[in-house]
Amino acid sequence: MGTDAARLRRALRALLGADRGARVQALKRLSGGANMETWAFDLDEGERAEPLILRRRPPGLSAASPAGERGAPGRAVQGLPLAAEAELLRLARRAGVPVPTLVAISAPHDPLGEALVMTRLPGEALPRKILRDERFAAGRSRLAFQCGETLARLHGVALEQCPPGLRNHSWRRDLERLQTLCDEFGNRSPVHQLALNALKDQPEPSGPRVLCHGDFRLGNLLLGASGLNAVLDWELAHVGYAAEDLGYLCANVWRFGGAAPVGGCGEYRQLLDGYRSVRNAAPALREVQLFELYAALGWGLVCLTMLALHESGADAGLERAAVGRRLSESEIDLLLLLETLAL
Amino acid sequence: MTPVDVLLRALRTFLHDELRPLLSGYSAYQNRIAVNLLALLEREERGGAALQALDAERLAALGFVGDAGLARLARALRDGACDDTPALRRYLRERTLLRLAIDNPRYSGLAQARERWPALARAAEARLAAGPAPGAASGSGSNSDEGSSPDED
Repeated sequence: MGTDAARLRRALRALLGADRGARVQALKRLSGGANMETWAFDLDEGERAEPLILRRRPPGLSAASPAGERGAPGRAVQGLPLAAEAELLRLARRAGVPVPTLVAISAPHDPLGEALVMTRLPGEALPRKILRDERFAAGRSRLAFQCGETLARLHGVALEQCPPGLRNHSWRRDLERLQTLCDEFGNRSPVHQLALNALKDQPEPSGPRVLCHGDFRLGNLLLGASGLNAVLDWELAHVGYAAEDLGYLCANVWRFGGAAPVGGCGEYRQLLDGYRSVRNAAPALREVQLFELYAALGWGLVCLTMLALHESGADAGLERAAVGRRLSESEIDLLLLLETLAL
Repeated sequence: MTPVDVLLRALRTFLHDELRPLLSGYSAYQNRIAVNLLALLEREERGGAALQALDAERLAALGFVGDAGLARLARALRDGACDDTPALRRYLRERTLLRLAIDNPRYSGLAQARERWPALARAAEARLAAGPAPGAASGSGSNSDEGSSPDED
């Protein structure tokens, strides 16, 4: 890792300011997601050091890998090219969604590889700290309402402004895709199949098609003392249903042990009130909960996808091997939700 | 010959007590995942047989005798060749209670399920207690909820 860090430092200097004699300091890998590296560092330009974040696709994993084109297992995990993510950051900011400021983009063939550099905003992203630390008590109490407002603003973005290449989710096609994944993974889970059957019996969700963040949950939300500071990690953005982002945020796996439904710390009513305060109308609660079911199933299949990546040798990391054992988390959530929704 | 559970515990103790103090940042995070996985394997060593016994018994009752019964059940559900009955739900709930007691006993959904289905939870516990290697201390410091999750410290 030492040599990797030195190489990163050189590449970052080249990208950000070789001509200004800037120095890259305090480079540190954050314990982030398995399919994207996140590094924190300071750019020292003499009079002050600017706190920055590097998001980089790990060498060897590309958004357009053959696995991704085949549809499985890669596609369920790997998201948009980072250049498209950069475009979404600009769009989101214009819509009033709090996001980091983009500083530089590195193309896949550059020395740094496919990467984004952005401002490092103050706040906490670690779910357990957000849910437990006393210093976030006030921010926590506002979070559900603010998430509702923020998602309503995002969902107001005109679709024709979105970067090309965003996936277009459609209820029937997505359920077919999930069935294909279940089949490809050898139908390991009767619980997944029960949930999928229940979803197949539902009508297509109501409401207009909107720009969805796709991974809107604790872990990707930066919380400050007074509430939401930034929405991070846009690689799973797509065109979909408004209730999808809301239900995903409420999925039990993303409550991180918290008892309340919205990210473990807020009530459905607060989330939907926040949403309505911006867009007049909000999805019905049952529709939100159906997307909790959808999210739990999706999470279970992501676990199996990561396991398949590990088994194929594409990613030998410990984390991908371990996540396959989180399958049973999705199964218990699904069994509970099926009963709650009388499905 | 050293039993498997003793080897696993020795490995976990080494990784946790001796190696972790030397690590920081990313390596410490990886160490935490490794320690959690060893704790999981210890739980599997204790409870795996109980789960297999439950699967064999219930799958046979549903008509799926032999290998890969779980996958055949899933396909039958997909194809409408098996009904979604209360007995099926009870089996799947009980097996998932057992599975989670091995995979991640700290997962919040497990506590919710035990509260919602207390009789099934008691049945699952009884199966675990009657397993082939009773009496081993329950995995202290085991917390697969943290280390295997991408976004946690």
